Amino acid sequence: MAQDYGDRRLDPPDGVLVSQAQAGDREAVQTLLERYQRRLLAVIVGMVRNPEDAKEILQETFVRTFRSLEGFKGESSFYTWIYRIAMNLAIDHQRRGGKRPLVEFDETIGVKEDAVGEGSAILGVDPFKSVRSRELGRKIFEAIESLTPDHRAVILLREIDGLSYEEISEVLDCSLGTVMSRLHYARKKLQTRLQEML
Amino acid sequence: MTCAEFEASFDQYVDDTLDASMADACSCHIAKCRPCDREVTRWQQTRILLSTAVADLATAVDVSSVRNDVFAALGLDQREDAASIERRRSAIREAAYQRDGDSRRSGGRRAQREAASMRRSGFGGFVRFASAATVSAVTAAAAVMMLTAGPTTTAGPREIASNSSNSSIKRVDFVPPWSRKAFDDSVAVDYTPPPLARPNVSDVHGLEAAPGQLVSTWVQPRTNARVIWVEDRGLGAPIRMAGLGK
Repeated sequence: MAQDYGDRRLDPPDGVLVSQAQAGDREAVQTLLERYQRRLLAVIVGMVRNPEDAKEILQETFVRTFRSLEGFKGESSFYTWIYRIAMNLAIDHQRRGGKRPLVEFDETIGVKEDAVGEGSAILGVDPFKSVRSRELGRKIFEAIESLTPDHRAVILLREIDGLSYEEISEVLDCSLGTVMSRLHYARKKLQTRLQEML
Repeated sequence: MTCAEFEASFDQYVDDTLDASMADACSCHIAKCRPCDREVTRWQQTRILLSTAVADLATAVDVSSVRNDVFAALGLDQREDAASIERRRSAIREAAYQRDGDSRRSGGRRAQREAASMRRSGFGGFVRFASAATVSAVTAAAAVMMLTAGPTTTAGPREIASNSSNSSIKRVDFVPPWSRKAFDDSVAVDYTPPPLARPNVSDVHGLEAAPGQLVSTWVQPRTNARVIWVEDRGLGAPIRMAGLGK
């Protein structure tokens, strides 16, 4: 898929892939999906916490995005567009109260299920550190959940994905001033909630 | 700068979006003001905790099925669409042109060496050089089938009758298949193959190629052997069945 764009060998920009996808190019659809799935997932999982819900929202985001791709005129960038779809779905999900119980934060997830306990020392996982880390993770997510979905969205887009204020305002369809005030409030609240840990 | 002024600029300061003069003023302030400095440090710690916690949870999500689920929901099946096939073909064509260019730049010596080797080693040489020449362009699985084989009577460039009346003689230089431009860029040559030495013609009764594989066929001028060339473009689908029938 890589071609020469300018003087460097780069992946095609979103605009090129979107045009190809609009023309029915399956490979372009796949490239866009692979490009955005991890980035979107991090923000979505921060919003909903439950991995299964996050995965469902991610899939729904892609389905809606590609189904309505023909109507995409390029007035905004593709990534702010797809982020908008993802965040709207995640915020709606949160307002509905979610579907599944929230998972406990577990730093050993994805490492090895039996790594905790007797075998943990052998596998290099310190059980005390693990418990502390799990506790830390739980408190962080509790702090995130203490924010409203709108505030949560702003802080995650800024801190996890590094979007600029302008991009956040485009994604969330609100003014720059609103973004800044929500960001300020969210930061203060997070710091207050996590005060004992810092 | 006062603490209140710093507080007003706090977010932009930690986000590094202040202009240079304001950023300098904030830096000077926190160098002198411990509470404000502590605020900045605390936020940096919070930021690390936040991103680590979210990243850890995101890593635990198995996204391996997302692509297939999304494609299924969109009604996109596993077959390659026309645009993808054309793009793959273009890439192969481009690689073939590149090889031609390399060969010309080296004074044609490489082509000559290949042709000489072909003459020396017959079909074995063909396979060897085909692998070497195509390895950069294709991740190869090649099925080459000799359908009709005649004894080698002449080697290298040869003169053949352009038609049955022998009114004109056309010289056809041997061009190894990997040096040809592309599979569909064949040059029309008025060519009548010599009579077959063996009349028992074999035929392929079935060849089933999978998506992502390109099948091309040509006749080798020297041996009058028909070659079926199957290229696997790396999509992982094997050749399912290729058979020879008498």
